[in-house]
Amino acid sequence: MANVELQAVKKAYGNAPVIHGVTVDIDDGEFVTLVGPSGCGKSTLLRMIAGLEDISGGQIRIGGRTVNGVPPKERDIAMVFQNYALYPHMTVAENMGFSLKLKKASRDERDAGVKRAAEILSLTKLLDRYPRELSGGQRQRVAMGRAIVRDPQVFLFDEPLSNLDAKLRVQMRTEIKELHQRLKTTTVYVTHDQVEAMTMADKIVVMHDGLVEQIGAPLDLYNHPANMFVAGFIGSPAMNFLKGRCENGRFVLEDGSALPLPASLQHLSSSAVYGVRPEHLVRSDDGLALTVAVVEPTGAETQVIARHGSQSIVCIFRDSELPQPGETIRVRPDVARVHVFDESEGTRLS
Amino acid sequence: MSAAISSGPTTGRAPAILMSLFFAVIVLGPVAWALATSFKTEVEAVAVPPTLWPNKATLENYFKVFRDQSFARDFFNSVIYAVGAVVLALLVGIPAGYAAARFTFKGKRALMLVILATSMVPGVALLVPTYYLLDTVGLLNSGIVVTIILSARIIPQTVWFIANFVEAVPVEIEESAFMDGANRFEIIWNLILPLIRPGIAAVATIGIVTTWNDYITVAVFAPDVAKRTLQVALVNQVFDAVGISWSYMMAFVVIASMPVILMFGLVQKWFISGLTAGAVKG
Repeated sequence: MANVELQAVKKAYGNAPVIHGVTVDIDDGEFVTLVGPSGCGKSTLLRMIAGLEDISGGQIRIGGRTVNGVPPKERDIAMVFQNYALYPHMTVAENMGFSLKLKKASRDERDAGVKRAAEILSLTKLLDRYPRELSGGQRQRVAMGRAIVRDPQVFLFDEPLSNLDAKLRVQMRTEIKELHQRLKTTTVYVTHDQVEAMTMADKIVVMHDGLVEQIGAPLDLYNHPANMFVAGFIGSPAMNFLKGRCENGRFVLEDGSALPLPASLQHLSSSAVYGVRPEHLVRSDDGLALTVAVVEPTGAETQVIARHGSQSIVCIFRDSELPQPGETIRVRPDVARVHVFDESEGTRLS
Repeated sequence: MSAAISSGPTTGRAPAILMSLFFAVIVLGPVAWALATSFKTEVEAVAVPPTLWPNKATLENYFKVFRDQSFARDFFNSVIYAVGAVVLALLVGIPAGYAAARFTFKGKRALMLVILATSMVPGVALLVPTYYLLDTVGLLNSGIVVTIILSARIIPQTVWFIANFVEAVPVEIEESAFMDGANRFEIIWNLILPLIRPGIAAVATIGIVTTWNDYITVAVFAPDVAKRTLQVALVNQVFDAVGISWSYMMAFVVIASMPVILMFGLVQKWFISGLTAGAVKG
């Protein structure tokens, strides 16, 4: 196991920069997710850690050793790919033992390594099968098994669950987390799914357009987003944003309706964006009037998409009383969980 | 109702079946004629009117071919030239095709087009200059030189085929092997070669057929009788013999065709899947 340090890491393809200087410290044994929308540079960053992409600037250190320019095989890391990248002409056992074969390990050593990994991942009965004879989840486990066999210092995962159906994704998510808790190997995990990031990580790195927007523990990002991007990206459904002005200790919307401000922000007097998560809106007779557009009950909770003027607002209610489309409902925010953002910069005002 | 169901597809297929039969007769007719003639006596082979099947089948023509002392030597030469040319083409074509598929370098597209263009130059156009060149440097009648020339004819198609097949292998598989600790050579040996085996079978088969059936290259650059191939020997018989024995010649043709037919039979499965994979990749 080892820590991973990225210092002002940059990547450019020709004259086109894609990563503008990323600095992240990943502690020994930590599970870190790189999360962000498509094209934000998270997979490129992971591939730079792996050694599959050159580094245009900055430094990457693994276990205190600078690895810029060090080939992948000398970095002592293992990577699980989105499409599993199993060797189709080799059995599960051969796939898992390939790295040991390259190391010229003896037959007994190879068998022992493969057996150990197969037991961890419940693959023992599948060792003689070929990848084409496996389900998506089993293939994913073989890909992880191939990584475990090597007993590397760092695990890298590049969107490993994207090709699985929703149910299997949740199951594999749990398995990967359990695996990490058992092996305690430093793990860097790339995903565009913020739920995956929130549920699995010790630390989340939110990326956008080749820059780090915020680094922190999952709940830290949820409760204290640094800016509108993080606030909108973390949490599902996304945070509602309402434009208006802070004045006289209240937040006044464009149509004149007012929303309460936390005590710490009541001194503000400027144009701003009011942010409140759908789950932090409660029904209240003296609240903001909304017209219900769509009602989506899921059993445990009901998601309501409503309109306030031209603004769409999403609410989540846990009571059993379902509003009807066209009905007017009144909601008020849990003022302690409200965020206010600078209108031009998008940064959170605290 | 049932009549409509059964007659529909049959009616639709009938022209296709007829067309297939027509082309099969055109392609297989001469083959069947050669095969039938090879079992006829010399007299029957030239009888008028000709017989379709031998009245009394004989293996005498085949025995005569095998008794011919030059046959073994010509056969051996054919095998050496064809196998040597294909092995050489693969030795050059696999690394070149891999590089074309996986590496990005300046002028790659132009280089690939030049390689393709070389296969478009008719071999006959190069005969005279190549002959003068080899004659000048004293390399006529060299088996190695003939093998290299035959190989050069099939290298362009080999490079293009292999490049297509390598491109069809997901690059993540190679990256995964890099992470597993493999170097480039180990990746090609352990992953690429097994995965493109159908492609290799396809190009090898095409290469063997092309070089085995070559006449002009060997006839011009290795005119020595000891260096000739079955194809050259066959043509020599037509021109040299006082009287042509058609039944003997047909037995010779059947035997000379056997290695290629056998090879195709052996690698047929890979060959077809190879061509299909290449076609899908485009």
